Formats: sequence, C-alpha cells, structure tokens
Amino acid sequence: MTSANDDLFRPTLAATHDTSNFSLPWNTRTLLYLAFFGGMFCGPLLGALNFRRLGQHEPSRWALPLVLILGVIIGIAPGVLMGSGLLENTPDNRSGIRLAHSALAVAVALGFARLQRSRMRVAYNSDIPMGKLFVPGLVTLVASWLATVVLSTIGLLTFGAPIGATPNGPEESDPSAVSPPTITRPWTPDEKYDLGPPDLESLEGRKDR
Amino acid sequence: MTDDHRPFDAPESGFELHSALEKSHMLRQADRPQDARRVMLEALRSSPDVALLHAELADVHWDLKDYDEAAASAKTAISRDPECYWAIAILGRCAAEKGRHQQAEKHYLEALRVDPQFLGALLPYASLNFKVGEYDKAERLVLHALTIEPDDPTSHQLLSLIRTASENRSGAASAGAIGLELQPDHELSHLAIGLSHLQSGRPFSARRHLREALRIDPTDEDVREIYHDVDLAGRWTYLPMYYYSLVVGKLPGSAFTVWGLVVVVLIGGPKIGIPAAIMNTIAITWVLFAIYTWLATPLTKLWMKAVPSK
Repeated sequence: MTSANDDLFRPTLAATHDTSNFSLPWNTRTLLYLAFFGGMFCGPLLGALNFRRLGQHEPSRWALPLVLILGVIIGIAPGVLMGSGLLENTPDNRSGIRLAHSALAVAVALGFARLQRSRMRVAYNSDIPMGKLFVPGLVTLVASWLATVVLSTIGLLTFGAPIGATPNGPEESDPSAVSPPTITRPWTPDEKYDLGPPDLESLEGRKDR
Repeated sequence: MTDDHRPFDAPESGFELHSALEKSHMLRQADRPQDARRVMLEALRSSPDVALLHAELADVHWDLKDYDEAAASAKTAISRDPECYWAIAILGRCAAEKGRHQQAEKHYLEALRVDPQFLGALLPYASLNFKVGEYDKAERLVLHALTIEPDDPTSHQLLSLIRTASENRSGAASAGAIGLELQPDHELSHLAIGLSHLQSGRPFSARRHLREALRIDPTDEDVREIYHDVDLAGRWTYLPMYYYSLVVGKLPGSAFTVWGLVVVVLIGGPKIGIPAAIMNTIAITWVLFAIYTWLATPLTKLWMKAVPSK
C-alpha cells in the first residue's frame, strides 16, 4: 500500500450510503412529469414523501411542510390577484398562472430530485425494488386539481372583492373613497376610445331605431 | 466475481484440507454449490477448527444466496482466526448485500489491512463504491487492483462498467475490449462492452454482445433484463427516442430544458416577428414529437411482445 493510495483505504462511506432503510422509493424522473401536469400537490408532494422512502429522514421533516405551504400560497394566489383586481380575469392570465404554477412545481420537484440523486443512484445500482407510482400519481393528480380549484375559490371569496361588487370598486363603508360615477358611452365598441363629444346624430339615429 | 480471488495456498491446512478446498472450488465453478456445501460440511466434521474451511463454506452459502448462513460461517472463521481476511471480506459482501454499506466498507478495509493485495476484498470494495456512485474512488481502486494483477479479466470488466457509468466512453470501450480478450466466454465481458456500446450510440452492437452474454448464461435474470432494454433501444420504432434520450440526458434538467426552450420559442417567436405559419409548424411538430416520446416505449414493448427477441 503506497502513500499515494493511502486515501484509497480510508473509510469514506457514511450511514447515508446505506440502503437497508430504503422502502420502495419512487422514480424522481416520473415525479417531474407529475409536477408539470399535476402541480404542487402532485409531483412535489410525492417527492417530499419520497425522502422517507429513501431513508432521508432529515429533509423529509421540512420538505412536506414546505410543499404544503407553497401549495396553499400558489393555490390561493390566483383568486387573490383576480378577486382584488390586481390581475384581470382573462384567458391569457389564467393560462399564465397555470404555467407559472407548473414551472414552480417542476422547480421544487427538480430541487428534491437533486437532493435525492445520490440515493436514487444507489437504489438503481443496488437493484432496490422501486415503488409503483400509478395509483398514488393518479390520486394526487386528481386531488391536486381539486385542491387548486378549491384554494383558488377560497382566495377569490376570502381575499378578493365580495361577490357582486365590481373589482377595483369603492367600499361602501368609506364615503371619502367614492369616486365620481364612470360615464360610459352607449355607442358601438369601435368608438369606445373616441374621447370627443358624443355624436348627436348617431344618438338620434338610435332613438329612431 | 470474487471466486477466483481466494487465498488458496494454505500450507498449514494440510493435504486433505487443501484437496477439500480444491474440490469445493471446482464444484462451485461447475455450478454445483449444493455438492460443494456437502464436501465442506464433511471436511468440517473432521477439522472443525480450521478457519479456511469455514470461510469456504461461507463462500458456498454466498453462492447459494443464503447470506445469513454465509455471514454466520464467516464469523465462525474469524472466531477461529481473527486475521482470516477471506472471511472478513465475505462478511463485507454479506453486509453490502443487505444494504449496510458503511459496515461493508469497514470489513473490506479490515481485510485489506491484513492483506493489502487481496483482490477478493479490493474488487468488492471497488464494486461497493461503484454501487453507491463514488465512481472516482471505484475507478482508482480497480486501477490499483490492475497494478497488482494486470491480466485479471474481472478488473477490466468492472473498470469498463465504472467508466460507462461515469460516461467515459472511450475508456469504457477499451477496458471492455481488454476484458473480452482476456475472457471471451464470460457473460460479464459481453455485458460490460455491450453497455459501453449502448451508451456511445451503438445499440445494434450492444444488442449483439448482450445476446452473446445471454447465450453464455441463459439463467442470469439481470442480463436478461438488460438485454430486454437493449433490444428495446435497437427497435426502429424506438431508435429516434433512444438517440433523443442520449442527447437530452446530457443537458442539465434533461427533457425539461427542451420543453422550456420550446415554450420560450413559442412565446417569443411571434414577438420578434417570426411568421405565424412557421410558429404553427414548430408547435405542431413539437406536439407530435411529444406524443411520440410518450408512446414510443409502450408501443415498442407491444411490438416486442408481438415479435419476440431472437
């Protein structure tokens, strides 16, 4: 044993390299796809549970609360933003929010996958039996969509404007906040940006009709 | 893997013991571990205090995949001779098999402390490091083993597998070629070189080697499973997916990086004035390709069921 090889014969493996505490870990790559399609309560949630299956008890303590908190925040946020009028309720904005939700879920799942990478490598190389993801994936996929709808509605009802009120509208209890009524012009949509005086002829024409 | 790396020259054990050990070894080579076990139990009846006999019995139990018995026999051997590095290494293999890698490392290092040149501990230790993803240390251990015994085929085969995993394609292919030259009729030689070819974009050559490995040992379920995967990659319906996976696997974030790029192009394209016709073509091509990537594996598996591998 030469001195150049001394470090070769020094112990380098820790308890974290053991696979005796593995319990049917899930494939982290599949969890990424579930995160993209199912959002925060799907891939990242299962990813957080996967820590325990990989015998990583320390990260499993903070990962699950993190996912739940992020999931609730990102679930409520669209309702809050749209209900309070900070964001218009348009198809473009809705799909943008969906995309942002998926991107965040994938980012969290990617982070978890990176933390689980060395353990997964050990699992693959050791022929450890892997857990099936079909049923938990399907259940969390459906549950995640439902949770997103429920949280978004809660955000809309709780943090947004009351039902029936105009977004951005004044609150009745604050008389000082009352702004002059908006004058809307009853002519065709093409003319809505015309700030000139009303076209009396066309008004009369409407009356005739 | 470690069968040929045993301390067989045991002058203190006498002629009868030596012949019993030889007989057991030959029976194991002939894939008759039950007979080897009987020979060892008979030898132990007349000489119950010889550590080497217990160590050989432990190895026989190992072949029979009876790891608890193997560990018990190895412990008995160590109780007879605390410096019996062969038995210590077997204890390490048993711990590694049960996933107790830290414990296994302790045993291997203990065996190597007694005999630093014992390949029966050095190679399993390299294999353990390979298993836990410590490719650099695993490679250095195998290279160290090769300085002790340069023509050991197992070392070359293991080196090829390690380099395949660490994506050193040329190194894997050269080590695999040497392993194949030294031991052309061993399934591990073909497995090692086949996997290196699979990783370097040669699925048909990989399939040929895996088929050969399976011909040599048709009972090896691990080789059969790998052959199944290699055969999948060699089907023409899967080939685009195979090459796509090779390329995408090297990107950080793999497929998601590609998805992200496509989304950026689809959102940013119209804003920088790319005509709608081109954007539509990109979008439709991407959707069709995405559908293909989802369907490639199940469809090819269906095809493999309809047209089984030769």
